[in-house]
Amino acid sequence: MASSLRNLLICVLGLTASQALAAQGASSDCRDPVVLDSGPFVLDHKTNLINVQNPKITQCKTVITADEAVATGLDFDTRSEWRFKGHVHVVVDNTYELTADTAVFTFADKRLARGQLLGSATFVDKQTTDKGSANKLVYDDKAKTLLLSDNAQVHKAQYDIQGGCDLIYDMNEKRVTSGSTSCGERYHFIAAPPEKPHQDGEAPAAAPAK
Amino acid sequence: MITAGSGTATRDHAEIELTDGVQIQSQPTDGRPPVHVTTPKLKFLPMTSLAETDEHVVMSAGNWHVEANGLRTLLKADRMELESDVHGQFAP
Repeated sequence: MASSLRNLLICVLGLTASQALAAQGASSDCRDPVVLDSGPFVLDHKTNLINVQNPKITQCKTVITADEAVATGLDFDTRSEWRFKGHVHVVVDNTYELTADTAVFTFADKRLARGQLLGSATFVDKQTTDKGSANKLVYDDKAKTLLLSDNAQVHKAQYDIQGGCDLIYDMNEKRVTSGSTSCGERYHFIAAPPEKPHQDGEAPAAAPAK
Repeated sequence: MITAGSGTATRDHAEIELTDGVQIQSQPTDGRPPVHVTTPKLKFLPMTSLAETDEHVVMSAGNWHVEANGLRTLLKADRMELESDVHGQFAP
């Protein structure tokens, strides 16, 4: 079921070449400094923890803001971890907006590597208006994917998909695929009827998979 | 360690006002990079090891460079607070 759904999605979800190239041209090789702007900043050398109010962390085209953050160290060189709390808002490549109640971001090799957003996590692709939500959303900067799990759903212009164990949104290809099947939960695929006939040669969306 | 170009102390030495290129340098023994702070003016209370200023502060630690307004630190507690307008940069 999951593999057939995956194939169906790959077939149905078209992507123009220009969209893909534009997305892939984003900041994958960027080595800009990590910049922190914030309110009060406390460095506790005994615990090697940093507590920051109203942080804004910027690297390349990624910006993270929140009410508060705790970091495991000032050193982004080794694998450091930043825990954000309250109104977490992330902009990726000037294109994706992620929000959540809390988030944990890890930096590796001086770069943002991965973010795990928890609690009413959402994403919006401002280019396509694709959007999704889940109780847990994992952003992988290297793979450029969003892994949505626990009550995951993704909305695209042509359809909504929800359920299953998790959904994977490919940020380069603007494509969603089903993830793990270990939980045994079924996916629900709801095609939106086109408001007018397709004019660009794109195939109409498939029938719901029950 | 705190150094400064000039300073004045109260008669009972409870409070020392340091000016003219004040520098604070931590001296870690566990291999961590030292924290280095510069500010134009600093009040230091030897009894409590409290050092504070409302002035502009520049802090560097490892590859980090952080600027802010206002500093409050308990040197014995190894704790440093930058009070507002914090702007930091880590250069890869």
